[in-house]
Amino acid sequence: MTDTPFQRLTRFIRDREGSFDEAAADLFRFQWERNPAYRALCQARGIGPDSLTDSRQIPAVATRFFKRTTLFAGLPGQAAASFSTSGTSGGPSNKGRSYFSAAGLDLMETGIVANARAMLFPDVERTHILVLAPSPQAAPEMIMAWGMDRLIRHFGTPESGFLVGPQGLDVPGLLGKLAEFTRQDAPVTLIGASFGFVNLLEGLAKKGFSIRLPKGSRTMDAGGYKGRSRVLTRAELQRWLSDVFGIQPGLMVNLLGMTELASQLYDDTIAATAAGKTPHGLKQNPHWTRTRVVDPATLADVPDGQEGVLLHLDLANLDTPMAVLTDDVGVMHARGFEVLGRVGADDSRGCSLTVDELTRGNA
Amino acid sequence: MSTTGQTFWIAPDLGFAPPEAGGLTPDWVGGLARFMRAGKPKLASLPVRRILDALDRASRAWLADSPRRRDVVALIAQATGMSQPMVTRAIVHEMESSLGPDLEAAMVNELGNPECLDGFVPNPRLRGETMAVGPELVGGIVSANIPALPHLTVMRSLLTKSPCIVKTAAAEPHFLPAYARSLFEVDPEVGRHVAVVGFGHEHAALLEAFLEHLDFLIAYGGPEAMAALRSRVGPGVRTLFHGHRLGFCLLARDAPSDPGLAGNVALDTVLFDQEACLAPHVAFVEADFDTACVLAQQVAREMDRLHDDYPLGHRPLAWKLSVRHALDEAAMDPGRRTRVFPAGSVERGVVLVQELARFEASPLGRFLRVVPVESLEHALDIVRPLSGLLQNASIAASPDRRRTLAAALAALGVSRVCPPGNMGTPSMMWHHDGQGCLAAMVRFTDWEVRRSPPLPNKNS
Repeated sequence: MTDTPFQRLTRFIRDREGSFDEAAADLFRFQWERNPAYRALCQARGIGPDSLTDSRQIPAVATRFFKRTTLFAGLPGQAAASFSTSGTSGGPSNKGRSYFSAAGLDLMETGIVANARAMLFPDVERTHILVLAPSPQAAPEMIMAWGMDRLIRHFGTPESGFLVGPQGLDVPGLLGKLAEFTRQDAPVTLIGASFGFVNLLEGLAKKGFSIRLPKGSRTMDAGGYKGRSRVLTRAELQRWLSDVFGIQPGLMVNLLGMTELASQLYDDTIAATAAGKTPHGLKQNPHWTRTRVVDPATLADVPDGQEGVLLHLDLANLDTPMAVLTDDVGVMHARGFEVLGRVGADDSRGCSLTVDELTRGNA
Repeated sequence: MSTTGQTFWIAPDLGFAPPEAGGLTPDWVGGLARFMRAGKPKLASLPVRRILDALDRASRAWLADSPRRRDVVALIAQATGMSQPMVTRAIVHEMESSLGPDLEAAMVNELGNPECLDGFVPNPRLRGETMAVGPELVGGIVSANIPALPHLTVMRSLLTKSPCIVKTAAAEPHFLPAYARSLFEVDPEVGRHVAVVGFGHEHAALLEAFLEHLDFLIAYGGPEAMAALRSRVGPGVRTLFHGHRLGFCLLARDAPSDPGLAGNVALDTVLFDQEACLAPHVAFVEADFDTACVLAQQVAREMDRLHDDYPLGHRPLAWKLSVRHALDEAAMDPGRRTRVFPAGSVERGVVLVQELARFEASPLGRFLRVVPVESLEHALDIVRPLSGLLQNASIAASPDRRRTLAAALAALGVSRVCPPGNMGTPSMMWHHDGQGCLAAMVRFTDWEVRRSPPLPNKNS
């Protein structure tokens, strides 16, 4: 019996078996064959599985197309799960959707576990994990809830859990657990969306609350503050985490996650600290992903240190295009990349009509 | 000339103190508005011919190369990203179309006799006399898309003998103060009635002070900005809003053979980097797909050639991303045929041949869709849903067909029709957005000297 791409990719992600370019070519053929909309894009760019010589040639799909087109390499009815995007780039009505087969979910889980072991828990087997987000049962559309549930399964204790219910974040429940873990001197990991942390910390800081969580406690905040009212710099968030929870700066990690990507991209804070090195805070690619900073018009790499748009290649994206062109502005450095924010709308227009306005008018 | 984050110009002999070093304050802006408004009788006492002459000489001063023009071109290019040759071209175009004879023709076109602004003038059709009076104080809120276009607001104000205060766009604060200075230099008695201020959207109190004393507002901008302004201007303030609009081309099968057609379509696309509301987003071609591709290839070649003289300047990442989205969106729709013709490279411009069932806007910059259609009547159906937004159309067709199409376009609300190659260069007489802008600014008084016949005698 021959291997499937899923099996080969699982071994590449889990065991580093094979090379990135081989695995990428393998996955590209799989997606090209099964996804007509993606194949049309590849044909327009003159790239097919037989002409591919470099993984950088693999045509990337802009995130906006995940909102408009069903980009699923499986057959209709084969989707085991689907998740919707947060809709931050086009308002609440402009949500995208990513479909996953059972194999796709498995591959995503393999990636989540391998990445968390390297970047979040390099020094920990199991720990208390408290999630400032709803559970997958409460929010089945939310890919972040699904991923965090996997973290609890693989790294959490029985006391771990989700703390957002229908009434929002259960702050008394959270503080009760933090007090209990502190009494036991058992380190705890708090994970959630960046803006969720901001809201929590703002509320607690106002009340003058603070606690020294046990040594080894850590935080992982996901995403930025896309379009949210409260804007906070990374340094400010870190100061609050330190003041309110007593988290050590070397144990606060930020994660870039997108519904369009099965993998997440952590900064190096915890991994470097655990290895006794000085972290630089830049995002790192696990070996099954690659990030480029490109000029979106030409798709050519921009030189290190210059702003461009982030383009990710994620070999854990079994069912949806592995190459994703984002709306994120970033800069590549020698030791990782940095996310600066969203590509802004050009507001210098005068009387000429923009595409977005026209689209809105016709919607 | 500029203070922290804010620019301004007032005549040095105005008798009103410039703002303090800290920048503009609502009190200062309100005081300036009252002061400028008080100058109305003096401006109204100047003959309209003198004002025309001053505007003519100011335009001529900008037509010639000069250290001032070079400095301003460099500043505008840096601020907007438009290349210096294109900025220069925009200034030259705007000034060429606003010389004395053009301004006078525009006044005659809309007001009849321009001297009606000096006093009552005979109006034979009325069998009496007519006089026109402009606003006490005009406020302008101008945009950054076309360098030198903001001077139109100043000209309209002065031609209707109205002092004006114009708020520059944050993205291009350089041209207007320099223009106001040159106007003051050619005729201080006229130029004194122009003031220029600049502040960002975040200064709500400054905007309020700016709007408070106006009785006429001319504003350019997008729908959100226009809606916000509408809600803030007082009930007695009359307005001219120039919102976002678009252009397109209709190229008929029966058009007389024209070897310059591709070059003209390319010029319309390249001019001012498609930032004008007059610029084409789409060229509808009455042809099959392959014939449309032949034209598209020629247009792309001409765009490439024009790029050598008028390069596309620095474009932001957002534009580059929207070009990518437009290209990929076309590619990912297997139901429609598409073909891309870059003008050398996609960074220099793109002609995208595409079968379209509904209008799709261009990301602008230099990006033209060429859409093959069975008949141009079908093209009219495609643009019909946008009838409130249609500004300009070029037509290449036989004379009879042209007349029929122009009438259909007029019914759709298109405010200007022209041959390819002229889309970006309207005359001063064009009814901007379909309106008589000078006529809208004045109030007419008609003095009817004809006596009514006596009432019939009830008893006779």
